[in-house]
Amino acid sequence: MLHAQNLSKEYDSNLALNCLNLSVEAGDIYCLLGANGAGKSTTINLFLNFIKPTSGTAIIDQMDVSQEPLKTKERIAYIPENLNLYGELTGLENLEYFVGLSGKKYDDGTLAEYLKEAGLQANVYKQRVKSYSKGMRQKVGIAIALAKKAKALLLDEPTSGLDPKASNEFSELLVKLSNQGVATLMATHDLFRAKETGTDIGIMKAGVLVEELSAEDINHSDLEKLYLAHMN
Amino acid sequence: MLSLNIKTELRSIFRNYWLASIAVLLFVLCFYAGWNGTNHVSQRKENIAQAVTAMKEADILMATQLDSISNGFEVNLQPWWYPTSPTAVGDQYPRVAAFHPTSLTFIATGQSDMFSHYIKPIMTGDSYTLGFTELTSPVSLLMGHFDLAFVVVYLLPLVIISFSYNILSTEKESGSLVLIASSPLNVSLWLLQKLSVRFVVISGLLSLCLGLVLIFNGNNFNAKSLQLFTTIILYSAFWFALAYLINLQGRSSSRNVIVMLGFWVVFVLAIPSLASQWANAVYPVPSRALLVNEMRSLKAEVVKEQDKLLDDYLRNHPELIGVNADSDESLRRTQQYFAAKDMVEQRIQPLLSTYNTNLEKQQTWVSRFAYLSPAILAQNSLNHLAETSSEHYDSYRQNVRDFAEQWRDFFLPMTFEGKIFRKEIIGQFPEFHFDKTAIRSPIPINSTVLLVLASGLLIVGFRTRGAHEMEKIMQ
Repeated sequence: MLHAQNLSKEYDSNLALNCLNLSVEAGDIYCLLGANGAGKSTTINLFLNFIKPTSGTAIIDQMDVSQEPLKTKERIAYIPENLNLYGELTGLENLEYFVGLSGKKYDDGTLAEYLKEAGLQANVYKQRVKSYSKGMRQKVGIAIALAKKAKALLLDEPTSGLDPKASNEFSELLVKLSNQGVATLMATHDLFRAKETGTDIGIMKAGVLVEELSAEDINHSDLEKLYLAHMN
Repeated sequence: MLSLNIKTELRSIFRNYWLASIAVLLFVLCFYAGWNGTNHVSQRKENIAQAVTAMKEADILMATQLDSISNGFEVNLQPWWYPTSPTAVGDQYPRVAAFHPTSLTFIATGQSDMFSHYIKPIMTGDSYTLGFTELTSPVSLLMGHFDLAFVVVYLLPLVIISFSYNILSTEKESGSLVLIASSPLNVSLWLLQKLSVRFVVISGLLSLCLGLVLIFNGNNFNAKSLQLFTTIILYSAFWFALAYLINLQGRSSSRNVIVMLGFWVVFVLAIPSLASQWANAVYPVPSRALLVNEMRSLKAEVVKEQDKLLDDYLRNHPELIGVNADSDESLRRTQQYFAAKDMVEQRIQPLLSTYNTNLEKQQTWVSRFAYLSPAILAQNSLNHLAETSSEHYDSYRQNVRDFAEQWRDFFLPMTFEGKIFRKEIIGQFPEFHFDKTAIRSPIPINSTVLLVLASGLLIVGFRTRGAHEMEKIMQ
């Protein structure tokens, strides 16, 4: 579903991403680990077509992102570290708007179902989002992904700043989506969450994917050692 | 996406205190400006009414005096007030050549505070000096007081800037832009729709305020009102289109507001100011003092040769030879005066022509600059609708000059022929009618230019930041 082929990005002679190759298939949760500036967010931004690759190709559902930016965006949902919705609108209205931008239209009942599925409490649907916690906003983000019926999910440190309970709930939702066949590419610093949630783990350093492994094949302790070994 | 964008944008706008603040501000500004303009117009109407009343009272008095004289009574008056003398009547009982305000005059003071709204041309007056003035600053003459035109031309762009400078940058700074940009949409089109909603909201608010002000001033909605609304909406559209282009550059809110205020300074202040200064530098107008001095020296010269001048004059105007003025010293002096006056006007013509030509060149020069500044175009259109434009006052002065000649020509034959003025002639006095048909409306071309400018900015914005050029916006 998501493929990076020799993907590179250079900013003013600084190589932010160097010849990245990775694949995320339907149902996979691929966790990208790495220090700040390792190239995780650059990878996500290239898949979103927010930036152009210097070389190589980002492919979503067999389409080149650079060539078909609108068609590829029909197949994805994106949740950034801080999901900033419109504070003056309610959760339901935000969901209606951001799903509507993808050309999908639902009645309030259906939208409420998606919010419920994302784990948001029913009594806050019609509250203005400016009163929401970060965890609640991230759940609206998941509801957007559900309602968009996205084939792929791009997440940029989505659990950063969430309390453990909220973080755990978020992970459960990702697994649920994964079981529905959604391909997920998640940039994160959270080794524990990557091991618990991910199916595949990639470690990046200075724009290079230095390690790629299956989450099943490694335990928490070894993952931490491996990660630190690469960071040193 | 359009209906969704409209619905969401309206929800956001109406749930924000911003709209209420702007609505209150616009209402206050429009009503104060309307009240101010109405006061100015009321003063003008009152001045004209007073002059007309005084004229009518003088006519009644003159008729009474003429009745007394015809009944053999003696009237104790100085010779230059004696109503049996055509020259005295032509000088002491002039008509009021008034420039009446219209129902829309209150919207733009324009040049109305620079010139008289009524002139009383007299028989012995110098027609070439009627309503004469030096054009020291064509654009400062163009702009007026705190009236509706001031609110629209100067303040409305600031309101629009405050309402539009940060549409994209706020989304970017708050982080919601990434969610929008991750949707399958053209960000340029999405922004255009959001700006269009704001444009409609501001235009609607402004139209409502203006509509109420017009109604309170007793105006009906007609073609002129429609032109007024069209001009204002097109002027607003230009500023929104500029905001669109600047938003699409993907800069920060602070940078956007500085750039937009910079454009405001250029279009509203700098270009109009430069236009007038440049016009003065390129086409300096001869001093009015010089003109007056020239006129005086010419008068002094012609007085020395009055006898010869009168002979020449009567040779050119045989229709005026009626009586033998040699037997009447007073009549001869009057005839000499008019002959000399005619000669002065002929001799002053080259200097006057230079003066007028340079004034016209200045006006032409300034009108060319108008196309560089939407503010000048809008002001020009509003002045035209209010009938306070320089073209209206030029035309008014020309009409007054024509009337002054008509007035003089009415009395001159009676003077030269030594006729007695009688009460019955009062009803035959020429009347002043301001013929405005020669004034060309600048509104069609100004509106077209505003439309082209706004459309051009939108097209440039749309082309430079298409669906495939997100990188700069997202950086």
